Amino acid sequence: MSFWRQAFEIARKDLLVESRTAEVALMTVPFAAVGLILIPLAIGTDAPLLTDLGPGLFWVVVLLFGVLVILRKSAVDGGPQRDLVRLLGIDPAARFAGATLATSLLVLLFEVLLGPVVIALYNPALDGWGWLFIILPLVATGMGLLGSLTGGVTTSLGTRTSLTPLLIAPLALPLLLGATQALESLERGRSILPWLALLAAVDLALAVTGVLAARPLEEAII
Amino acid sequence: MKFLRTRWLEVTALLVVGAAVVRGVTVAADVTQGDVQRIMYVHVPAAWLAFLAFGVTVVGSVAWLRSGKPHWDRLAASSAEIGVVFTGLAIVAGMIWARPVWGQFWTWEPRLVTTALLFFIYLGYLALRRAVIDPVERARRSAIMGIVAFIQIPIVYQSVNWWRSLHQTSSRNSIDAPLRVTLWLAVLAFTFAYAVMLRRRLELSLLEAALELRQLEGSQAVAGAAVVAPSLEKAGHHG
Amino acid sequence: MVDLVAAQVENAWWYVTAAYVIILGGMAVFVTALGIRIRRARRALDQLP
Repeated sequence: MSFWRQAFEIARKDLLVESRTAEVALMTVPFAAVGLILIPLAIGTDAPLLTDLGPGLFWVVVLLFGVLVILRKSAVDGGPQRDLVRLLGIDPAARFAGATLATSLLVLLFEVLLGPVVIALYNPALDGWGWLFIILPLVATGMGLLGSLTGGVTTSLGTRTSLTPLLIAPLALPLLLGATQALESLERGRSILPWLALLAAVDLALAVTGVLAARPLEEAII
Repeated sequence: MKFLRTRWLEVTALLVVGAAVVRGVTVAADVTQGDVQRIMYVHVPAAWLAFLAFGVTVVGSVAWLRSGKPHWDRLAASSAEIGVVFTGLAIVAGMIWARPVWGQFWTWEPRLVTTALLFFIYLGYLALRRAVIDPVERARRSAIMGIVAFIQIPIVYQSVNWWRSLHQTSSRNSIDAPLRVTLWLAVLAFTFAYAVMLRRRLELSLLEAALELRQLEGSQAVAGAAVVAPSLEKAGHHG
Repeated sequence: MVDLVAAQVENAWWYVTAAYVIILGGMAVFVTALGIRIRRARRALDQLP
């Protein structure tokens, strides 16, 4: 099997396992939606204020609650599954790419399902919303890559659920700034391209790191 | 004399740090900021030392992944711990300086935000090290994390920089020659201090590794070697 | 926001002292703590059979 074929098969397997529990759609998304309801109750329900804060809060919620997508049950293979993947001779880099693809798609789903919630509750300005078709996948890919890397090094640790968020959150800052500032630039009529380039650079740097680290990561996961 | 032979690094570090401190408090005050500027003579070197320490961590991480020699992992771990301590100290000193000069402890200045994030990134690195029990596993996982963190740092910094420049340009003022000499002396002094700490921390790592090994031997003797699973590590199933 | 508030800060030496004590003190505490940890590790190693 070619590299990409292997990666797609791994991603397909991950998504299939996820579809059995639908953890992201049925648990993480509602949880994040509750979060979006709670925030205005704490900081004030003033309509112009919420319009201002809406986009920023959306991205903060995506990055913080999105960690739960990375920590989902289906992201972790059991011992027998891992052995099988090994025995099949799957390229570690393909495995990394596949796992990343699955997580990224689920983060994208998370973003897409949460979007209407923000629009309904906060009534944000939606100028240049077409750019979201680029921004959302770029952020989702960054989260997926960060997830595969940090999720990989915390596999099977007792403190995984606390440690992974600590490892991801500070490294996710460029994603947060890229996404929020791209939207703000649109609003102010500035060029959005530097921020898209930033998002792409983050994704590229993480992807290169991931491919280089794939073999030691694979050895760590076993 | 024997004391000097074994402790020459400590003695030198102490002397240079002492000289730097004396120079820092006696050199002519800065024209614009006055005496508060003297804080820079400990704040800047502390921040420099933190960056140096994290740089050494990534060198240790890469070297471990290439060679698998345990001393590289010990170097990475030791240096990261020193780096976290100094990042914390640099932030606190920076806040003490910012309070009278900027009127507030914290501003969203790019270097400040990046340094604060660095602190948490490497706190996570140290937490990861604590969480993994097996020495080889710990070395492998933390080496990966050390590299991921280091590659992300310039991007984090650049992103904050861009974000800030949208709102306002950061003001930079040059410093006079005698003050610059003082600053360089302080940087040299702190680098010596780093060397002392690194040597001590490495000594501790070696002891901890020996302790770990002995405890592992002890526990295996009870269970018996027969129940230990065969290692697939270097079998090359995934080639 | 990040403008220099005052050229001459009152109680400047108070701030300078605080910063120096924290940084130098922090270094001293760290080195001392390392010494204690080394001694403790040595003792633990000696106590093992």
